[in-house]
Amino acid sequence: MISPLAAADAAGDAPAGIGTVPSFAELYQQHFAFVWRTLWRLGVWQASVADAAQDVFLVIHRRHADLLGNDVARSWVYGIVVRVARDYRRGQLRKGLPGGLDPDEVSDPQATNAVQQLEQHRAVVTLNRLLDTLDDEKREVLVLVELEQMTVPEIAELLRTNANTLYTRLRAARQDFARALARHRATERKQP
Amino acid sequence: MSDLNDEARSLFDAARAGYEPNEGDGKRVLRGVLLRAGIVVGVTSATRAGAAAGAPLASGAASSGGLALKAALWLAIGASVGIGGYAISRVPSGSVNVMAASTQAHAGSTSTSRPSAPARVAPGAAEVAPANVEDAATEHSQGSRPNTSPVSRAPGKGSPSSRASSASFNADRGGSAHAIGADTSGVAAFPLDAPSGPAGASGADASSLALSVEARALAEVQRDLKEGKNAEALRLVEAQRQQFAHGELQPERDAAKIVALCAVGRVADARAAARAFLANSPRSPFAARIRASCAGQ
Repeated sequence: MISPLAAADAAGDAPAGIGTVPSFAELYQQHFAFVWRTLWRLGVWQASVADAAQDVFLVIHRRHADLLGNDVARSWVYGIVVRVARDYRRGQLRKGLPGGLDPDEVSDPQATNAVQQLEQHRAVVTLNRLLDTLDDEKREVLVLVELEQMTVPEIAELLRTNANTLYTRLRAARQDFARALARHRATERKQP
Repeated sequence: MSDLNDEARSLFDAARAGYEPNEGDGKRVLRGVLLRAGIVVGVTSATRAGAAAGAPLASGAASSGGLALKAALWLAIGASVGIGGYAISRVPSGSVNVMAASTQAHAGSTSTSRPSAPARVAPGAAEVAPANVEDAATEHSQGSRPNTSPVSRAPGKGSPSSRASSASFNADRGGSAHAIGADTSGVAAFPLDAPSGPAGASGADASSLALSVEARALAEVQRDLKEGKNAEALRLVEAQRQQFAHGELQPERDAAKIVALCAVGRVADARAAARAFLANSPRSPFAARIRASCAGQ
């Protein structure tokens, strides 16, 4: 099954090549899932991810004509995501509300795989809490490597950052994360 | 690069798919964006009604040419976003052409509204001040974002589409057969002439310096792969295995070697290397790519 956008591309009706400026529709289709999960992984509370994603795409909508081309779109979008995520995290810190497992957001308990979904959600909550202990830069590189499964050269391009710096940052992030996880497990063991 | 321990790796693995949006998220966010951007101002009720019915705006906006194009945009995006989460077959075949026209018209209207194009945004710069975001939302305050209240977003719901979505993004960055080697455009970002001596790495400890040297060497391999010098890449990576026998980037080198072996047609060797790699690091971040390469097929 071919999507309308793909069909348009195949017919040569839609600009999608390197160096061309993608339309908002193309950007939305290509990047929505990435924007959504990255906002969440970078620490935006789950309940705010939809709002934050709206903010990201509002900016994209307003500015996509300024984009240099499709070949740099991902880097451009990611830059916006990072800015919006940091803004939301600052707001969350001011609110001082805990981000955590909201029973209302847990999947349908009648679902056949509800237990698996609950476990997955618990893992997300735990992981986010541990990632919250990292600074923004370490969190970003760790998320991109371990969750987005990108290579360091890819991330270097995405962030326009020296790859050597990223390797060092990744190493430190993994060490910090391991310490945070050890503390978390020790705390769990102390609790009845 | 030294890896995470098993416990940490398990946590990442368990959580990875839990961040994916479900089918409704893409539609809901898009509706909010279009409303806040003023694209569907004046047809809000039609939007809501149409969206609820799964056929947004298509008929209600047809009376206005511009609006009809925007409606078609909404319809087409709504049908295709979510990557697998929407029934594309529900979109009338004619809407494909409408979408193309819409896309063109949309881009055209944008360009005409900017007669003198401002300086284009440098990639990665993305100077988005929070105020910019707020400014974009002048018609709708943060507190009145349409339809963004957290509904029951089951993590992992619609798992197949979630995975497809992830795969799509991987494909977007060349995450298929030769992803690691072929999609190393970031190699250009490697400063091959970066400071390598103590003076250039002032403040860095010996470990960081060693890592920097190793990373630059690996960058040469990746550059050769990118440039199609696969045999040279293979020669380099094998030499570096000896040179950096206790290095931190061995998994990266092993992955690059598998890609190089595939590229030079040594499929049997690639498969043997892949088996060894996956036996040692079955949950490595590179595992999925290696399985998708010639070595995993």
